[in-house]
Amino acid sequence: MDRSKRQKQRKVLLMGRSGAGKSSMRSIIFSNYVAKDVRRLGATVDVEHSNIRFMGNLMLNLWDCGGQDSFVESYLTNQRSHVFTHVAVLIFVFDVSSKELASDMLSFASTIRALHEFSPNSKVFVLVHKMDLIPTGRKNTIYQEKMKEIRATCVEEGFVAEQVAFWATSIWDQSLYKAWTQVIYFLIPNAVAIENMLGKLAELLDAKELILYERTTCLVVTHISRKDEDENPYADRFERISSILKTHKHSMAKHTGMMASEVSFAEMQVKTGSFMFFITKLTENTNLAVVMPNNEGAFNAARVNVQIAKREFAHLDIMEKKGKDIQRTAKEAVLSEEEVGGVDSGEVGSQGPINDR
Amino acid sequence: MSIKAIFYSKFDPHEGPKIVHQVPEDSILTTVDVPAINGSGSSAGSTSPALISFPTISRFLIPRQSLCGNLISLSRPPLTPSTPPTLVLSYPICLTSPQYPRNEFIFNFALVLSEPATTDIASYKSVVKKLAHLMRSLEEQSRFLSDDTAFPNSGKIYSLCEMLMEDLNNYCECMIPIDELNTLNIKLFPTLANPASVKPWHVPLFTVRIETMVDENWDLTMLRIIPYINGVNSVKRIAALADADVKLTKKCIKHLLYYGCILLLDIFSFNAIYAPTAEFCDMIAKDVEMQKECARYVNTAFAPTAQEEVIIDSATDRRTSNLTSVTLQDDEIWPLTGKGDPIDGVGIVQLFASLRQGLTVREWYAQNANILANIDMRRFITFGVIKGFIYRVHRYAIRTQKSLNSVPHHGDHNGDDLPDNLTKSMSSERQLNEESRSKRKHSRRTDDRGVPDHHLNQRILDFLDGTHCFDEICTELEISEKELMDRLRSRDIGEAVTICR
Repeated sequence: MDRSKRQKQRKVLLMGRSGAGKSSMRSIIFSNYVAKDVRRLGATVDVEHSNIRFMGNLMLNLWDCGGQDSFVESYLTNQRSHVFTHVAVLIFVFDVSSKELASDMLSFASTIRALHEFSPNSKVFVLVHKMDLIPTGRKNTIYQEKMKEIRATCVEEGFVAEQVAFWATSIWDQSLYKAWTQVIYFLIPNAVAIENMLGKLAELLDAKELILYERTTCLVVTHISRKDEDENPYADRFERISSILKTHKHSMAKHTGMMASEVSFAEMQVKTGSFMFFITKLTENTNLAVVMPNNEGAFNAARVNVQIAKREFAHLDIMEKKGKDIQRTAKEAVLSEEEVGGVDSGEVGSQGPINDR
Repeated sequence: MSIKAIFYSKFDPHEGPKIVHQVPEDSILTTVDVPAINGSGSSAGSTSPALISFPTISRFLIPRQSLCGNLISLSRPPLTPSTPPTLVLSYPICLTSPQYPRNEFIFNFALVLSEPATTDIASYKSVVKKLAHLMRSLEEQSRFLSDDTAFPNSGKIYSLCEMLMEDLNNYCECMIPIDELNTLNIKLFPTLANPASVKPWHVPLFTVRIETMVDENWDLTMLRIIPYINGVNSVKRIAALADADVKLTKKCIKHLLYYGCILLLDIFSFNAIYAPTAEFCDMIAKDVEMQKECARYVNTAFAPTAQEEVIIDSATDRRTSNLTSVTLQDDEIWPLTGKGDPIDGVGIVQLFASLRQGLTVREWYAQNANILANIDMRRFITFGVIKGFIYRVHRYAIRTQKSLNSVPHHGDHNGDDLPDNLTKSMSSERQLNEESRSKRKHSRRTDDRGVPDHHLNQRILDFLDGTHCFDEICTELEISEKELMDRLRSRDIGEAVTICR
């Protein structure tokens, strides 16, 4: 019980028909596989459990469930309560190229029926996967059709609209990262607190955008966009950067002979005529990307200030002692560096009442 | 009839783990429901009741990839109270290749054995392994298994399983051709315990009629030594008599021991001491049949010639060549004393009981000379040792103190009280001091083979740590026990304590 206060444990089910792409997604996001490599993966026999530590204060219990008929039958019958209790999130993967639409839908209906029975407050993420197999012109139509159908089934089984989210994904582009970013964002216990701190930092730096990335998965944790960034036409820029960072990891691993999971960098800078960008390590588990206007002085000041602010953000990963106010201003943090207890990776506090879980 | 069923299961990319073929049909349930039990207790409608349910154990038969390649045995509580307990032996295999739809092919040939408590599981384990490896090779060579599109319980694989089960149950071996290149050869070998080590001073004695089993194709050394195995000759002596290498002789004896053809005794001598064991009361003291058996065995009136020394385990008749097949009357078997009175079972037991620690066979004979007049003493003692109610009390010697005229010992230091007799120095350096050199000149007695005296004492020293019985010392050094005792008593080697145990 104590452990769950310090480090939130979240049970995530990953289900879908056999060959839908569940294990492939899991290995790309969490095990540093490249999209080409997943061709070599074998079928998942029964359930593969993984415990993934995210951001230092979130422990994902990911259940990658084999999709063959006999396994699904087992989950729905003799393992029903074991599988479907205490679920935070169900990620259901539809293979958009599947020829057995009716039976896919049936399987989905039975699954969420069991989910509703044991975890009625859980959230369902439906991923319409393998979108790369659909010609570009038809992508949106097909996606909308599927979404309508599936939504109807969800309502039938008792899930309200807010509980279900839809995403179109493919392992060959950044849409995969977008979908999983949303899943993670939903699960992080202190997202609001992080956003508040980032917001204040952005004000101080006068940055255009601040994006927080998780180090090993390169997924976006959250981002702050100020002023006129809403007009930015590249709505998927964050996950594109995720993809770029991931690819960079793999290149580094290939050329230095290290494992992809060990690769990291200290700082990367991009300077163009219209903006300046740098990404640097913020805490043990996160990288911060800062987009600055085209001003050398502001840019350098921002770099220095981010270095100073690092210690304050270390609190994101460790437990706050009771009674301390976490909503400090960055100024206070800079002045009172001595008070900060350093980065001893210990327990983590539960911040931000997003949901009662 | 140990194998109740054989089945072949695999991982199907769409359906998951499933049974493809099973022999006999319906012995493995493929659904979760237990069949309804009618009044007679067997499941209605099928010829034999189902033994196990596949879905409940499928995760062990088609396990995740990392568990494949291992022998897995399952013992599951029976389906119904009337179903007998069974043991499932399986060897799942996972083959990785891009040719397969999901890059992998997982399959399993499993045996269902009945009465696991009484069958020899180990021999079936090797059957399962061999079958799995053969199937793996077949699959790798010619996609034998993954190309099988036959209807369940038909086709090549099914008939293979069927034949395998029948042949193993009926003949304990099978030879099934699979295609023109491959044959399945399987034989059930009984697993026997590892034999105890054979020492040169052990005496082997046959427990089977070996001449009925031997033919000219047997190993040369074996053929040579067999005539000399008579319960009298030690292993070293057999090697000498048969002109065979001692190591090879030992190996042959070990083989015979492993297959239960011989048992090992000790060298019989009149200096030996024997004593009753704890089983004495439960064996010959109570068992009249054993007493009669003993009488028949030791009575010199029926003695066979020296070459025919065999004892058949728990056989009441004796192997004879000069005895007619007349059945002996009960009272004729009892040996007679010197004065002509028969010794009955009680007398025999008393004779055995009179053996004790500290009493050599010679002394025991002297005490009972009259009674032992018509009893073959060696056979008498041997009977007791074989049955296990008499044991041989061996003698050991421990060197406690170096002698004053110390024999030069490797690396000796004056005043060194460490028990250097416990270490066997391999050094070829010898420190000869003045004393010993002069001593050598004086006492230059050589034994039969012309080896200087002190050299022999040197070798005796190595054995004086209390773990080598006199039989061993005498056999290794080829001296008599009397000579050994003389040397020990003479204090040339220092003080030695003799222990009997």
